Amino acid sequence: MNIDETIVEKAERYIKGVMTADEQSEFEAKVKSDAAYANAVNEYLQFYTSFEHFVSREKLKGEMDVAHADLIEEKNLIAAPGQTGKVIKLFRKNIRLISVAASVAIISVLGTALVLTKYYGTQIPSGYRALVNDVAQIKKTQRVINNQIKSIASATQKKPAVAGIYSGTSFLVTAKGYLITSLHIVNNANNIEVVNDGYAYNAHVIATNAACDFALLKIEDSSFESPKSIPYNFYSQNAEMGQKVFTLGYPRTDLVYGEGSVSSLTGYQDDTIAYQVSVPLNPGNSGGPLFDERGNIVGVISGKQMQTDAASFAIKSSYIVDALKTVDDKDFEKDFTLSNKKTLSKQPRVQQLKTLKSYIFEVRVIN
Amino acid sequence: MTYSDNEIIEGIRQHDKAVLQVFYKMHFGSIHHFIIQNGGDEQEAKDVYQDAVIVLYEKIKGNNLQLSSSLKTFLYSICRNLWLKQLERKEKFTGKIEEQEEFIHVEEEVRDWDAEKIQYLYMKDAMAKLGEPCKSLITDFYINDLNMQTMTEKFGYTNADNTKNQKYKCMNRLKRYFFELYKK
Repeated sequence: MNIDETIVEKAERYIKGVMTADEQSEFEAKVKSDAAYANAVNEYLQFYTSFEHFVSREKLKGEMDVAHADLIEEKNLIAAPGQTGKVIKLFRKNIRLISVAASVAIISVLGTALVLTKYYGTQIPSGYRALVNDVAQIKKTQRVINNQIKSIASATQKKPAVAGIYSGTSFLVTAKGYLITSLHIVNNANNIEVVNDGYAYNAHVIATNAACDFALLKIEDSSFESPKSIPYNFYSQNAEMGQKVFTLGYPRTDLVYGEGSVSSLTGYQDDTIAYQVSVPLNPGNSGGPLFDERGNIVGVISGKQMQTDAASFAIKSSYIVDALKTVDDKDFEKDFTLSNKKTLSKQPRVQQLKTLKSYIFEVRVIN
Repeated sequence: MTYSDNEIIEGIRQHDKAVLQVFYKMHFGSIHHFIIQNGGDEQEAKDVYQDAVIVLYEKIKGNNLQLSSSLKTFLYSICRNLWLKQLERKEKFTGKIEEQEEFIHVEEEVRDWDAEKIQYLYMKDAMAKLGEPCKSLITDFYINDLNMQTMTEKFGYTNADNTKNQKYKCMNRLKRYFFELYKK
């Protein structure tokens, strides 16, 4: 054994506590006196910590794979086509022979690269790029095969919802069919549809402002009936911390009400453009209005900054008003007013919502 | 056969394999449904679910599980969180989630997940790069818990000391491959 391999032996015996007293004091003395030796030992221990963690996960995965194979047998769940199915089948064949799954042995370099691609998507750690490029061709071939299998399978299986449809919320800013929404919903959209009360209207983007995730849409549809006026005001003054707020939006295809308060005057990563709000939100709420208790617009929900379920954010109305003021569209300029109506201010919440619901639209984007 | 949440936690703590098996089978169905409804496939449903069980398992083993909901909700919330992140990473986030059930905030629980997962995948890759007999030697000894005598017979070494030395050589090589990936 070379010196490094001796270190492996010593380090493992040390960790396991199987050294004799003499061996241990000799080892400890060498670590103390020889810096290079100590470094090598440390490096190994660092590796070994990761390795132990890996071993514990592999063991658990083995047990879970046994349960999973059972489950598939019991429930007759259909395994995914292609390589996946093969791995499971291969595994099930051997299930009686090996009590603990040695999945490490089954999965090749190719398999791991694929796992990484799947897990990290486009952001694969740099060390993996080259590896992934190498397998790109193989993946392509495999995808073709998988697609062929899928198209056969789809004849008997129900397809999940159509991919490529993004959705969010928008709300009228003028009676003539101008709507505010989040830029990230409609960015690069080929086809935008806004829906209210089951009626869908075509819309397109008039203006955008990337800094505050803002987009102005206009309904271009002869079937759209303009309301007389907009019942809410746009506040250029921002809400205060602790102020009660509520929102209406389309986290699903039905309008959903949510209430809470302004919990911070800065947004994600101390961004001063946004508030943090304690309103329970889902990604479909993006682009929806944030109202104060009297029904004035104090912000626009921005899902762009939502880190899954961590916290909810809304772009402050002052920035939205600024963005609206710079929109270069003659019809809009003529139509838009901050106004100072009191339509909603004294109404109880239930009444406010009854009025508001016809001004809030679901946005559907087909890319 | 079902267990209460407390029985499951205790069972996992005691490393009762039967409890883990029952627990695993209890909740896969609803997670599977959630992933499929939200743009995932069979393999992704399995991967996300297993990752979530690992999170729970390691919390229990590390004695730092602070449960503010049922295990079912906890597991669902972890899966939901991991899956949304994965969709975001793949830039496939449709902006819309078909919710299955109530969920709780689990940011804190999964904070270190990505860093740990990368290390895990590096180790997996280093293992794959090892080649035989090292890969089997390490797998059999550390993961399958075979003893030296059985391994000596299986791999055809003349005695247990040779097997041990071979294993040390392999571990040294694995360490090198691991750090080659890790330090890049």
